[in-house]
Amino acid sequence: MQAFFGKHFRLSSVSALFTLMLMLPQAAQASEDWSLSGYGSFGGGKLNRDNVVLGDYDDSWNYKFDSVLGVQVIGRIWETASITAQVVARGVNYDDKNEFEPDLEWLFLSYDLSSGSRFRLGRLRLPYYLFSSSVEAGYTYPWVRPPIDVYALTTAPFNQFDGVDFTHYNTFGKFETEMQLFGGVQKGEYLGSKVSVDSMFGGVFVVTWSDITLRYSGHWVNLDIDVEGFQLLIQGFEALAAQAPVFQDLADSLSLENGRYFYQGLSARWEPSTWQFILEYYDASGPGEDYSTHGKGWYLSAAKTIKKVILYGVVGRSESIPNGDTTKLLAVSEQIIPVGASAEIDQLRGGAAVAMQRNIIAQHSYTLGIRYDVIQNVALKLEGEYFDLDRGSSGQLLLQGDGSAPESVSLVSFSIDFIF
Amino acid sequence: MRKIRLNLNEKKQARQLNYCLMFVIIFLGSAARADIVVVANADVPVEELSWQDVKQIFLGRSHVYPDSRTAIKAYDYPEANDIYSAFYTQVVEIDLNRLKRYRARSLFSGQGRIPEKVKDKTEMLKYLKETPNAIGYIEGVFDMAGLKVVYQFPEAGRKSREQTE
Repeated sequence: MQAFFGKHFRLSSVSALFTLMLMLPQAAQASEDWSLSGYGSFGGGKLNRDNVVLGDYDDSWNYKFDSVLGVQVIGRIWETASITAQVVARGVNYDDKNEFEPDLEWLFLSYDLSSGSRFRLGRLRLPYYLFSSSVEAGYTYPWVRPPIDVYALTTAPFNQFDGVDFTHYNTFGKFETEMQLFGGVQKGEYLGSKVSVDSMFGGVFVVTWSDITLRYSGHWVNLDIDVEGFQLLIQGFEALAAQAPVFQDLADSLSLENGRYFYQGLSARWEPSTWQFILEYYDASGPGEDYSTHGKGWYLSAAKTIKKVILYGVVGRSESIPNGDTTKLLAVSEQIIPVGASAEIDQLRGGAAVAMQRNIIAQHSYTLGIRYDVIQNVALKLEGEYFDLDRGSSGQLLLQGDGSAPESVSLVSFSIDFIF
Repeated sequence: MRKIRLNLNEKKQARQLNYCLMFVIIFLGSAARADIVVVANADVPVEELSWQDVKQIFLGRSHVYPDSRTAIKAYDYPEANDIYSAFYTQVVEIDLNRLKRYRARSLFSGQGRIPEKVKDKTEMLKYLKETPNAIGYIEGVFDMAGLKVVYQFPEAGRKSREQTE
């Protein structure tokens, strides 16, 4: 299945646009019931530190990280079936795509079994979060970007999958329920870390009563992680394996094959008229061996609408701790070949120790912002975010150079979001 | 509108007057009901919708009519129209701020559909009559030719919800 999708659906920017262009007239000819819509954001931001980055935000104004343009086409091809495609061009990509290079985000066939049940097949959005389905359409939420304590940047390239899902809506009195079951495969890249998911499946369960929505999502993922930056370390340790088997174990600990992750997300939304309260929590636990992490995070957001203005505040916390195998093996190796015995070995061990340290995420974040709906379908947002970093961690930000992480970082950002 | 043709034949005249009286009764029945009604094209394969059905259709979750394989083509009014706010707050029972947020999310979720906007009641009636799978909502007096009422508010709505609670 992965090979099929890999060959046929991993489309380049040109072929993605070409596919969309082909679909437009076909959908129009098949039925008059087709629609073209889209969203976009032009955003900018600036950090107060020069040794960390968030996306492409550093200590000078940048305008790409929160800038995005998406176009969506929905065409009904039969009474009970439709096709949906979404092409997205992002200011910042984490793989080898150029900035604002169009990417085929969605392409799926939707088949309605009944008025409350439907199957979808193709490239779909992975429903990790409450706002997964519209995560890049900034107009759909109050903030400049979804809180990164839960919507971690490292997961951004893995928001879609190739496979199938089944959705069923039901009502029990005043309770409305939604169940989504899904399964498929996935490939993605984040700054040189290649993730290949051989199989994944899961479910989302949503209950809505009046202005309260509760949502649970559970995902089982079987994946390989290949970190490009670890390759020199792995090769170096493998070359030392003849001296002591612990170095082969160290090399093995820096990659992950066939690792099973379990992701759980729990969220609640309460929308009493002009207020909107949102709480999201996630826990992603790895296999507990080799290069795997255990991550968890939450945020609480409160937003108040006053005519065309929304005032909001967010507090959040995120943690991601690498499995301790590598650190333990480093200690074992130091008992066999003490520190100082070999400069080459010390350099490798030092590199591995730094790599493990830099993969620790531990931060609080605090955000205050304002959204102004200038005209219908256009919103202007301005927010300030304060990251309080735990000692030794750069949090969700990437540390630049050899220095140590700062204790705190501030980010000022804005965006103009629109839909059409 | 049905036209009444009078002639000099008494029998025919009486019959025509009977037809006319029936039409007036039906028409006044509609005219007296100034509440919001959900109206569909006469060819739509449902005779009656529940409150839940109406909610699912106008929030864009249902794409086909209940117990059928007929696609739904829903029509809606501009947000500034009084009937728009009355329909969603009173019939669908969703706050307008929440609806706006929901619609924006739904549009790009790949799951929802947004009803197509019409200018006013005249255009609503035109599309409902011309589109075989159309559904919309209307307030006040209107010509029922080619249409059928599939949900009434408030009586039917209350009844429907009471039955499910």
